[in-house]
Amino acid sequence: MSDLALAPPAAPSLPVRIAARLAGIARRSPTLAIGAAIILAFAIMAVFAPWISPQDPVAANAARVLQPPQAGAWFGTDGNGMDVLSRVIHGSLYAFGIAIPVVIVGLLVGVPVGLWTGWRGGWADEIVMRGFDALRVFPSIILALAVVAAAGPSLLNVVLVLGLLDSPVYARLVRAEVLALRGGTFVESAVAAGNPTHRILFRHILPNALRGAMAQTAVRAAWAVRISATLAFLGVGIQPPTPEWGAMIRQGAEYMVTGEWWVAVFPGTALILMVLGLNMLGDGLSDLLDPRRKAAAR
Amino acid sequence: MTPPVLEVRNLSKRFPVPGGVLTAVNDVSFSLAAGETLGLVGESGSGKSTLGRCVLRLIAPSAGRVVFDGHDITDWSEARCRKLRAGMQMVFQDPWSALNPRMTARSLIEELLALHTPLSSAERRAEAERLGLRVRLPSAMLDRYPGELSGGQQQRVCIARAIATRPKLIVLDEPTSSLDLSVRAGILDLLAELKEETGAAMLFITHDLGTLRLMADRVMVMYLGRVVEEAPAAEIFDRPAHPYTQALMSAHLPADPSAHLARHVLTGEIPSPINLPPGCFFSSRCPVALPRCRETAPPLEAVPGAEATHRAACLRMADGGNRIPT
Repeated sequence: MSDLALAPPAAPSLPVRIAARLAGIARRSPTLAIGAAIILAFAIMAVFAPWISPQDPVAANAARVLQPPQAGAWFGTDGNGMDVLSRVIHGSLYAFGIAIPVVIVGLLVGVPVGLWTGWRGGWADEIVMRGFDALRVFPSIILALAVVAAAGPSLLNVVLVLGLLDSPVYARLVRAEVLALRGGTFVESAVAAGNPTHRILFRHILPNALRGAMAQTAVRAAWAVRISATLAFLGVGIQPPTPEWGAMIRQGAEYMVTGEWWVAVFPGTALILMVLGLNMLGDGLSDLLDPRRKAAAR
Repeated sequence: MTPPVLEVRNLSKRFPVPGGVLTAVNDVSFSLAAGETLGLVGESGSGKSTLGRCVLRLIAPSAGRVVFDGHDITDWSEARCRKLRAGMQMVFQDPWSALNPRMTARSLIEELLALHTPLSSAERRAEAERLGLRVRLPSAMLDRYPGELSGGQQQRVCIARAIATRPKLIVLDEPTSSLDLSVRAGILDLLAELKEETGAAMLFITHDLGTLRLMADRVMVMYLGRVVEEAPAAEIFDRPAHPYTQALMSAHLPADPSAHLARHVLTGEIPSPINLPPGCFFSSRCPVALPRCRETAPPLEAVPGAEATHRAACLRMADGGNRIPT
């Protein structure tokens, strides 16, 4: 180095650089920023639910049944005298508690299937993909309804069924990437280097095939929140008095005609906001991670 | 005399395509001695790359035999070939697509050592540094991902990978054709040094005659999957026998500006490699073709008046009419 070289400007500290990076992303994709902000708010709400909710969400109180929103019960109380605000706050815990495991189950099943069928090709691929097509013929809500009704309405069953039903989405995305990579030069170069098949699949192909699937996770989480709320609304999912938004809307629906609107409207709004936030986050993520596939996901 | 590192006998590779069969490599035989560099030249689609991949068993040949280091690997499974892969390596045309974008240069180089040597991780690290320096990649570059390296640096990583296991055979598939001219010279210098240093036999696939002159001990010219001429490098540049080779050589600018230039510009259609015609494939473009050239496929035989190692496939060699008049 030359003696005349100027001293380098002091590098900004790590938090400053991260903040600058995030601001850059937010400027490029306001959708992503708004979605992320909504989800972050729900996440904080879920994590701190026991501390920020004013009441026990499942404490019935016969003396305070169907109170309208007022000081001390900002969202009113429901037909059991439970505090709607506390129940809405705790509902976010259930929303995440369903969405995240559903996405994980979907990835755990879908990604290996996509990897394997894309690599194998031939009849195995045909059979699996036609099976997925057959599954797609039914609207997912009908299938979920049928399977959950048969398996029993527990949280675990809802998560497993929704995760399995959603796995074809990831399988297809991964399979398409694997198909494109399989004939590519760096896979050939990995073969020429003497890599065993499992190493080619997991070390070389998989990390390069996950992009599309990862970009879809937020959108699929929104789907999971929506469907699980629908199941609860229809009475086959999570059962009241569990503070789950779908179940709460179902309870509140009865009171809509008699004018006690707050029982259904507040959990409904929370549900809409959460699905909206996840979808915005998902769209933003797809644009960011996978610009090519912008329009491909349904 | 030591047995050849690589022996290829009557190798053919056919691909089924809609409407027929594409013959990419057609009855090719050659052998490659230890330390020898064979230049494989021909235009795009002449089957050079397919031949290179068949030799390394990256694809299975349709007919013929491939004998590497005394093993007839023609029918071996991939799992069985894997044990020999330390001894036979490949450098690809486009280094950008040949490197896993999610591995650093260091882990890409260490991968070869991890797969084929008993070295500990510390030893692998040291060896990767040494290999990096050998291909003139400073160790700071080794922690970068392929996307953060230039094309030339990427190709240096590929070359470091190819020499990491001290292979007996390296197939180089147009290793410089995707690089800028300024970078190309550096890579060619490096390859020429490594050729002396490692003693590996090289199959050097190219369509650049200048590269060939620098690298090759022997040259094989392919046209539509067939070998049309084979000779020591100096011989083929000075006295090309096959009309196609003559045309090819005339396209090469000699370094001497006062040299007489005789350009042979070819006209006529190249036959489709799908459902090939009988006879000499070059006859449709050959300025000295006779009617019988379209009927009989010429065998590869010694060129009259040349050394026995100079062989060409042209019927007109018998009457001396194979020279394109200038």
